[in-house]
Amino acid sequence: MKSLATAASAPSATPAERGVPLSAGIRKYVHRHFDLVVGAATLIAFFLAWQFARPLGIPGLSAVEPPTKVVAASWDLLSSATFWTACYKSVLRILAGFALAQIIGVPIGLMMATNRMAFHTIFPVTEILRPIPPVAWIPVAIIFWPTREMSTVFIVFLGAFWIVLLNTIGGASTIDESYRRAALSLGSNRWHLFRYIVLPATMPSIVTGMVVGMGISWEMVVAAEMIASDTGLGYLLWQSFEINAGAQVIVCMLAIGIAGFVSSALIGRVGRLLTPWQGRR
Amino acid sequence: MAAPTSLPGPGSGPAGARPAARWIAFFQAMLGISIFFLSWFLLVDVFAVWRFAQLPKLSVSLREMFSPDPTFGVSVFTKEYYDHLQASAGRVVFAFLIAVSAGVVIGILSGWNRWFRAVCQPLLELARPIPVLAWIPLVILVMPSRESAVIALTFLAAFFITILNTMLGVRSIDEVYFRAAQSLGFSRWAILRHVVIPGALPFIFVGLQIAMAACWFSLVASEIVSGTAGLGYKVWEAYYYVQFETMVIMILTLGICGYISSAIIRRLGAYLMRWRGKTLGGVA
Repeated sequence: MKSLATAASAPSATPAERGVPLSAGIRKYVHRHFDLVVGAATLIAFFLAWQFARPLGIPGLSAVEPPTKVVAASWDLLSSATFWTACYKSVLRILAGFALAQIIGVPIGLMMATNRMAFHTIFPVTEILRPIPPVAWIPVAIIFWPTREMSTVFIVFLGAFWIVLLNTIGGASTIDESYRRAALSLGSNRWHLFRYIVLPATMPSIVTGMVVGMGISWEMVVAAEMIASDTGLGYLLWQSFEINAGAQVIVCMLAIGIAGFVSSALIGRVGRLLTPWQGRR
Repeated sequence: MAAPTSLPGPGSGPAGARPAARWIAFFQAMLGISIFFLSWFLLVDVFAVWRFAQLPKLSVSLREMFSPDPTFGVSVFTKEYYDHLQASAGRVVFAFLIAVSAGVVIGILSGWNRWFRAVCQPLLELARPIPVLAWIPLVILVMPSRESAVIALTFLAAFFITILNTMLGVRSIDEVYFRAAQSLGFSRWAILRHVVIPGALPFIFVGLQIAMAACWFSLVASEIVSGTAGLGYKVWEAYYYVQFETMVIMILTLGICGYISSAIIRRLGAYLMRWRGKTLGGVA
């Protein structure tokens, strides 16, 4: 897969260049850390273009506050209690919705995967409900749940639920039949089958569902807070937009991005603890 | 996937060898769906227990949906319904097609060409962890009109997913195929046509299905906050004016649209990847 460009773009130092150790050294460094060097150059170019978008008149980018203002705004925002309260609220909602999705989704998924009757009865219903974008449930959630807090958590739950369910079913339905037969012929009962065959075989895809579900949870919390709440990072983001604080909008976006990234990484860690027999993925 | 006898799953569906099993599965499906609608009917229409009393009734919603003269002005017989449907579907198709063509090209190039990857990767990695919906305010600021902002947000949702999956697809291709093709004297174009594209196609199509769902999802959110027409916009407007039956109609329509669009992609994928045959039990 290494393309022809590799060979052409970074040849090893030619004899003529050996006389100039510095440039040869740079060439060698660029050759070895190609991705790093080119990537850094791209990022620098991007930030420069962003910073000077207004004087240069770059369309689109010039509507965005320059990085220096974003840094200043992030300093203000990070030292305010509003921001940290918003973070705390969002994280709590994520935790609640995500945990509910696991607690309800995994058992239903396992039941559907191990019981033919349950699968053929429940799966068609999920096929009807699943294509509805979770965001469209927001008004229904507001009508149904007594508090806004509950409807936000419900929306987060719903976003993660389908992924968790599908991954659990998918994992449990790929189990090799011979394992089951081997276990049965060695005298396993139903519990043993579940505990030593179904659960370990399904765990990796449950973990995958958790990681993807966490990403969707953040999408959902942002949507629900923007549309139907008056606290949390999503609300702070929308409010910054409404009061025309362009730099603060970007700080909120980045904060949500970082929070999402960190929580996915944490879930990945937890996943590795749950499936220690899996090689490093 | 050989259909396991006691561990059924999405793969070992009603397409079993015995026609009897097919019928049983069909009746069970009907049973499940009936239980769902019956519980809606009983909880909301008949007993109106707890908060279910607030929700729109099944009978009223259905009557509204199929009434030629609906109470709140929207049913499958009114022009307004099709206007919203057309607005949303048009946006999704437009944004999805652009996102897919751009995403597949960028994904293949960055899975294949070192330079391209080195340039694109850092920018993508910077933007990708941010949830699409968190882009809404920024995109509204950047784009000249609300309509273009909604389309841009729908585009973004599919764009990142398509790039990522295409890249994974290209990098999943065994190095041996490239070497074989090169030693047989394939041109770069022939390698692209006969190795890269077919090799990445399964991943691309998995990506496209996720991307389509993401498109609808992002569309609804953007229409709610900044739209002037469309299914998502109408869901929110109906909620706002307490026309809950209209809301149900719109939500059901969104579900149907989502289902149909992902079914089309599944079919297209199955057609383009005929050579894969039954190796995966036809699940893909």
